[in-house]
Amino acid sequence: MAERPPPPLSPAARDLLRAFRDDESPTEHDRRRGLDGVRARVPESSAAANGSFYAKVIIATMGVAAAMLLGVKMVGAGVTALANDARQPAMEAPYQGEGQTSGGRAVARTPQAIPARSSGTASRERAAVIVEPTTVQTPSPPSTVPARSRASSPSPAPVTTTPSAEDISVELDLIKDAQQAMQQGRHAEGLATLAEHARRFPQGTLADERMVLEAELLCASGKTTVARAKVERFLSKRSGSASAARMSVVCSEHIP
Amino acid sequence: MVMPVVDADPEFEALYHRHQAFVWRILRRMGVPSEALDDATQDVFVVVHRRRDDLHDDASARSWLFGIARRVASDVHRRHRRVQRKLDALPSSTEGPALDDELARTEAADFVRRFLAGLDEGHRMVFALADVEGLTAPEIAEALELKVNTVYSRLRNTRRRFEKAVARRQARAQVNHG
Repeated sequence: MAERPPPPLSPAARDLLRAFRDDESPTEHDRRRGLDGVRARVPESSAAANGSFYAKVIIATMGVAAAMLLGVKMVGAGVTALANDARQPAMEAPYQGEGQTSGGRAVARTPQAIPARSSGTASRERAAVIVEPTTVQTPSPPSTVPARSRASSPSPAPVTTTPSAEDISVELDLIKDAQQAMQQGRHAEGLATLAEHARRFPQGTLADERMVLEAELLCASGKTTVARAKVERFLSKRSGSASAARMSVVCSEHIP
Repeated sequence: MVMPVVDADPEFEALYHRHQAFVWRILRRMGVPSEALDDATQDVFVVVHRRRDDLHDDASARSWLFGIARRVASDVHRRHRRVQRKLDALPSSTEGPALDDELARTEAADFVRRFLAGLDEGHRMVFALADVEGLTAPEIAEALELKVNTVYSRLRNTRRRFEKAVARRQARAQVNHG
């Protein structure tokens, strides 16, 4: 049996619901910004194609850089190991590949200690745990001084702080995530990912890329004033950066 | 960043302006967090743009939009859990006041909000779609995949409870104002 429609609400009830509806509704600013966002995302074919092209170029470049760094580390460690094996194999063997200290000085991990790179948040978390602190001391170049002597030497060996392959891998994952978020219009998530990159790698290899992406995301999400301020600060402080040309056009259509 | 230029699509923009607020509020009712409402509403209209040929009749637009919004809200919930930690690390914006500050909550809106919070999901959504969004019973039935009689039944029950709550509120107000 068909049920009859319920009786209408009283005027007082309707007034309350109207107030609620107004309170819950987007502002005119939300509406305009939303439409701008939708316009920027459709048609997605051309935008996605451009985005994926740049993403591929960056990823390929960083992949090569990571591979080269890894290769250098492996060769360096291999040469050190061979040289030390030839001199005092019994002394050097125990700490090769374990990242232990020798005489108070850190000895870098050999490539065996580097976990295989995989994508995804979980692997990133694992990698982050392993690689912190973000700067890893690299092995000193092969020396004619035997290891025992080096261990007892009071003068510290010169230490460089080049980013490890793991660092670059984690950085690359974060930047890639942020790019994908931007392409899919998830601006808040993209900015959050970049904030995480800034926290972990304030002066990271991809710091400039992060700054450009951040400005692009801010602009795309309608925060043009903040975006333009970031562009100007970047160009005044990093005019020689390879990313300067790209940064200079960010939000340029919004310049008053 | 240079925005991709999109040909003006007056029909789509009209659809957007007619229904954007509806989508926004429905996503909010579906529990999409404030900071994700903007992106989620855009997500819905990006899908709408892609599938706009599927919509032949504006009269059924809202139940169609509801279906899209429900899927988007589900994605948002999944994603939100994953990125909550990242969002916590997001530095606070230096541009303008926060969304919650902009939307000053009136006492009346809070009252309705509390009432809705006390309902189960099935009654809450029927009531919101009917008496906040103005959908008809057949539209609600289509959107929620219910029988029209079920919609009527839930609506009758919820309206009765709401009227009682309103009467209690008025009685309290009279006592407070002497």
